Amino acid sequence: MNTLSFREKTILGTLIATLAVTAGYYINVAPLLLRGAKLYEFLGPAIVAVVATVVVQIINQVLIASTDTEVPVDERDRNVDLRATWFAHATLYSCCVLGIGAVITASVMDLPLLPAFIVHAVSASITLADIVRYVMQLVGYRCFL
Amino acid sequence: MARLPIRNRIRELRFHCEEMTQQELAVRIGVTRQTVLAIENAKYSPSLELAFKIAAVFEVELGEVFVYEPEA
Repeated sequence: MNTLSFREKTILGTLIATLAVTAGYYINVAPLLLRGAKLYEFLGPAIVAVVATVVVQIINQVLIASTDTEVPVDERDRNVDLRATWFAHATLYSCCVLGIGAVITASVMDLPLLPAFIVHAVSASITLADIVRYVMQLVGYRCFL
Repeated sequence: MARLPIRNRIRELRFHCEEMTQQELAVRIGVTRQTVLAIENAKYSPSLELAFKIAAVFEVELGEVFVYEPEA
């Protein structure tokens, strides 16, 4: 299986798009986070990230659909999705536990907890879980299940 | 990488069934060609229902298609 199937191409495109938009967003807002900016100052970059995600996804789907035909989802696809979702859930769960620990630690040590930092920590956890899901889907299609 | 303990004769049975292609078998059992390829290469264990469908296509018993070979 050297060539990618339609579903693998779709997943890979989505993964690359997610990584690109996420990296671009956090590189842009890093200075704002470091200086403790207010939450509303992130609105502009957030809107740009959302729009960029939608545009990249549309382009991705159009390019793939124009060169290949979609095939129906079968039991192996559902199996791969289910296993990948399990890993994504474990990732999100772990990030939540770490987040709770960080909040408690900051509270005990009397460190400032900025709302912008908390929002971005939660958002990053969700994005990381999505990335793990896409990666595990690709692994599931290529490797032994 | 561990191997699945279930072997199959699907490729051989396809050949003896008027050289049926993977795509033709996939259409008859309701899965994608990639799934048939994964099953033949022992990279995916089909569900019981799918295994029976495969056996029904070749008009043989389930045990003639799939063989359980646990590692020692």
